[in-house]
Order: sequence, then structure tokens, then C-alpha cells
Amino acid sequence: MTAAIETTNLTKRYGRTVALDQLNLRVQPGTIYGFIGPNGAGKTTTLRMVAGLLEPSAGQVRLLGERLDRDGRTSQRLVGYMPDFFGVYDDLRVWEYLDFFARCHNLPGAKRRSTVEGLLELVDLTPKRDAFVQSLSRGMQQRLCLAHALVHDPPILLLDEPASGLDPRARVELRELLRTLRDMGKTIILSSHILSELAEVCTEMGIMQGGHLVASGTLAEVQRQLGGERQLRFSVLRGVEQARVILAGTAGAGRIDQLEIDTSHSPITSEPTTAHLPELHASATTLSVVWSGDAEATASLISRLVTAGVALTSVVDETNDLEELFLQLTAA
Amino acid sequence: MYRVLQPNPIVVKELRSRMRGGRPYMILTGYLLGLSLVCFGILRVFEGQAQNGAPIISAHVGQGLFAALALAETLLIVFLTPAVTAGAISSEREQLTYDLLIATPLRPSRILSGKLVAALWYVLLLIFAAVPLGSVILLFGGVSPRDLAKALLLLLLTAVAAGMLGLLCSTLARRTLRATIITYLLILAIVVGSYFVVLLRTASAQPGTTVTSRALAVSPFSAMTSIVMRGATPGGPAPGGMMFDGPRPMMMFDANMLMNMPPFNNFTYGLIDYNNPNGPVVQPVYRYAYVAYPLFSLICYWLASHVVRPRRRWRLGLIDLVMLLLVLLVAGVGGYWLEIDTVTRFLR
Repeated sequence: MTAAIETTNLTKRYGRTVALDQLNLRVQPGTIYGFIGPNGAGKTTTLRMVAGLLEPSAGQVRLLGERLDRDGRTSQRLVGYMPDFFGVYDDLRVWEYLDFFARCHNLPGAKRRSTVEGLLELVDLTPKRDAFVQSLSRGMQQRLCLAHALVHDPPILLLDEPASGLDPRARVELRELLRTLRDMGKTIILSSHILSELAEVCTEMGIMQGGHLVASGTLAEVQRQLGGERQLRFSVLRGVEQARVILAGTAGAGRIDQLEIDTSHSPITSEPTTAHLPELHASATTLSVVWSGDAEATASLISRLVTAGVALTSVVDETNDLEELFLQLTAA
Repeated sequence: MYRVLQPNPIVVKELRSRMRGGRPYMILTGYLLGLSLVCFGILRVFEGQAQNGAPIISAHVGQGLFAALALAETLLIVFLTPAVTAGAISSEREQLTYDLLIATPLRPSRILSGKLVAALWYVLLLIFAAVPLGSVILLFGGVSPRDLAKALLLLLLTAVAAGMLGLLCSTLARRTLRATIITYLLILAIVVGSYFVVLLRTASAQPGTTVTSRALAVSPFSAMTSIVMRGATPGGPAPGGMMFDGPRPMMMFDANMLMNMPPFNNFTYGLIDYNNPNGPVVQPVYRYAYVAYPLFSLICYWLASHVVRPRRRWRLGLIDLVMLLLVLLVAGVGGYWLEIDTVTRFLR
């Protein structure tokens, strides 16, 4: 199948600084692909090059099989782009704003009017049709900017930090909107420096760091590529030694770490801090085990521990350790 | 076909937003009020002189009004136009809307022309709104409609040239404030600089000789003076001489008296072309301006059309060939019309 977006050794240099280093990316049609990475990782540079706003130093971009031409016509036709920092024109009404961009894309009169009304409906701004653009809230402006990227009905949408500066409610609305757009058959690439913003809505993601794509794929694939381990954490009140023996003898269990307190992530070798904690927790020990068993195996393991007389206060399945991995990675 | 008939989206947008709110109307009102006050002041001066027994000829009043109005309007247009155009492109960058614009199929040249047309519309509105005020001159006489038309044409060409300069600065500078300041500094350099060149040459010349400098040809005020003075001195000036020197028979305020004051007394009606094959000829300054300003505007637009591109700025294309031909055409036709020797020899 032709990839919606395909980059081959895409590189951007500014003088001696390499903003993006040999990016090879394939995004299939109908995907919501999330770029995650700290500021300066090369996300915006990548999006701008795909949008045809920035010329690559090396490498090439193909959109739906078409190679990006030099004057940017291909991307203007196929891509709807929403920059991370966008402005709005003062003294222009909401419908006029969309009408302006529809004119820029050469939409004829009747089609232009129906497109503008349809988009206002889509982004839920019909009640604000005649309001001045500068009077809209940040979330509404964001939706308006998203609508402007849709006037020519592009198959690919590039959204740079679409969720930044939005309150939780607006974020939920944005997520819904993105799902609607995916259902309409659009391929969406978005970027964020906050993982949790994307994890729920993206079907695939790529983690960027220092101009490199460190990992790419579905959530599980990215986790595997980053070497993330699934862990089970047992808070043991009594019978720690017994638990260790059982865990060591269970198929699917790997390395076992013993942590002093259930709330701490620090290994046992670090300074004991139990003195500050309430007595109930003072004697609880956390056993952390690298675990590859399925749900059935997990249930069976817990039942064996309990039957053997190990007093458990909690079991935590730490599957989503991606955020931590991401932080470790980007801190490095 | 549809695309050709489609109005430039930038013009539509700019006209929608630019004429909103009170500001454009306040500027228009202030502008007309200022010009009306100038007219009123001139009329009061003549009235006072008539009351003191000075013989006032109606034609003098007309000429005085014409001179004052034309120069005041030049001043306003020269300083208002850059304010309108210097923000054209830089404001898009400042408002962070430039990326949105260049991500559309709208070509940079169309963005530029749209911005220019929209800005000039407003300046044209100002110029044409003052035409009824100028028609008062015709009530008094002394000025031919031909001179009025000449002044109007010069005003339009001045507005376009100042607008183009502002637009070029707007594409070069990242900030509107910087673009505006640079534009004003350049205009001041042209206006004041050319005047100082004339002053220096006059000061360094032997006493009694008249000096004309080609530097005068670039200043819109000098060009406008050469139009309004033509009406003021029937019979025209002596070739090559400063027009407005020599003792005045009566201390009476009229256009000639205005022209005896600095800086106007250093302006000249015409420049002498000694190399002309038919012997030395005097070319009125405004005729140079008629050629120089469109040429200047074209070159500014040409440069701006390159700077405005998001990438591959200086790659040459068909448009450059067209612009080059246009510049050569204007220079050639203008030079022939001015009978500049090198051009006419070349064309022959």
C-alpha cells in the first residue's frame, strides 16, 4: 500500500547544527501518528518540511506516492497544516477568516460558502460565525485554525502541538475532533512534547530526540523498542522471603528487585526513609518483578502467593511505563 | 478561467478588515481637516492683505491655494503611505499568519500585489477625497486644469513609489516597527539629502551664478514645486535659472512669496540638459519624477517579489525577464521623452 507520508533520509541542517538527521518515516493512510519529543527534538522541522514550508538539506518526502515538488504545489494540495504558534487576523469575522483561506485555495463561490458553513459545523463554531476572530477563546481559535487547514479537504493533516495551551475540556473536544477526522479517512500527524496528550488518541507514535527518531510504531512496539519492561509490583506485609522463592520459581518472571517502601521507587540500597512514614506502611516491602505472563498467569501467580501465606497489601501491573522511559530518554 | 476572474483573496481580506473600526475614517477626517485648514489659512492671509489695501488678483489666490494644497498633500501622502504599507508583510510575520498564507496555493507575488493594491486603495481614497477640496482652486482661477491633472498624476506616482518602498522594507524587516522606521529614514534621506546636496552645491558655487543639481529630481517636494510654480509665474522661467529669485515689487503673500522661503527658494523649475543635440534644453523637474518614480516603484516591487518568497529567493524565473523588460521599457520610453542624450542616441 502507498504510504500517506514517506520520508527518505530527510535531513535539515542550519549551519553546523543538525536539526533533523536522516529521518526515515512511513505513515500509512488513516493513521493518527504522534511525534513526541522535547522542545528542539526536530518535530516542527519535520512537519514544516512535509508541509513544504522548509526545504530539506538532504533526503526527500513523498506524499501518497507523489514526490514533493520544488515550489511546494504538492504539499499545498495534499496537506492541511496548523503551525504550533499561529496568529489570527484582527478585525475579521470567523466566517470571513475561513472564507479568506477558501479563496486562497481557489474554491468557487457556491462551494466556498458550503465549505465554510460545513467546517464551522464540524469544529462547532457555528454559533460564533459572526464573532470577531480575536474575541474567541484559545480553544476556539485552535479549532478555527484546524478548520482553516481543512478548507481544501486535504487527505493529510499536520498539526503542530495542537493541544498546547488548551484546558482539559478543550483537550477532550480536540481528541473527539481528531477521531472524527480519522473516521473521515484523513491521515493525521501531530506533535507534542507531552506524551499523555497523545497516548490516547494516536494509533502510532514516534519518539524524537536530538533530531533522531528514537522509536516508531504502535504504543506496544515503541515500548519494546525503547526496552521498556513490564513489571509487577507486590507490596508485601509479611512473608517476603517466601514470596521471593515463589516468584523465582514462576515461568515468565524475570529479575526481582526489593524496594523498602511501597511508595518509593528507590532500590533497597538507598537511604532508609521509613522513619517518616506511618506505622502501617513502615514494614511493607515492595517486590518488583519483570513479568511477561498474560492475565491468566498473573491471576494464578497472585493466588499461589496468597495460598502460600504471603500477606499482600497491593499488586500493581506497571504496563504503561512509557512516560518514565520517555522522561529518562529525554533527560539523557 | 475562474482563477483569472477571481479577485485577489488578499485584497478582499484586507479591504474587509482595514476599513473596520473608527481608525480609517478618523485618518481620512483628520487628513481632510488638515488640508481644509491649510486652504482656510491661505484664504485668511489673502483676506487680511485685501483689507490692508493690497490689490489682490483672483488668480493669485488660486495659485496660492494650489501651491499650498499640492505641497501639503504631498507631505501627507509621503508620510501616510509608508505607514499603510510598511506593515503589509511584516505584520503577517508578526501575527504568525505568514506560515498559514504560504502553505496555501497563493503565490508570493499575488500576496505582494494584493497587499500593495489594498494599501494603495486607501491612499487613493485619501487622494481622491481631497479632489473636491482642490476644485476650490478653479473658483479663483489662475491655474489650468492641465496643471491640476499634472499635480494629481505626480501625487499618484509619489504615493505608489512611497508605498513600494514601504512594501520592500516590510518584506526585508521582520518587525513592522523596524520596517516603518527604515522606510521613513529612507524617505527623509531622499527628501532632506537631495536638498542638502543642492545647498552644498549652491554654497560652493561662485557668487552670482545659479546652480542646478540633478539631485533635485528625486525629491517629491521639488517635483511638486516645479508644477505649482509653472502656474504661478506666467511666461515661465528663464532657462536654467533659479526661478524665484530677484526682488519682489511688493511684499505680498502669494505663491511666489511662499517660494521665496527656504527650502523652496532652492528648488528649481528645471534641469538643463547641455548634451542635447538641439542645444541645451530645460526639463521641468516633475518630468524627471514622472519617469524616475515608476522606475523606482518597479525596482522596489521586483526586489520585494524575491524577498517575499519563503525559499529559493534569488532563483531567477520568467517573471524576472518580464520585470527586466518592463524596467528597460520604462527607462527607454522615459529617457526618450525626456530627450536624455544617451538614451536617444541609443534608440537612434
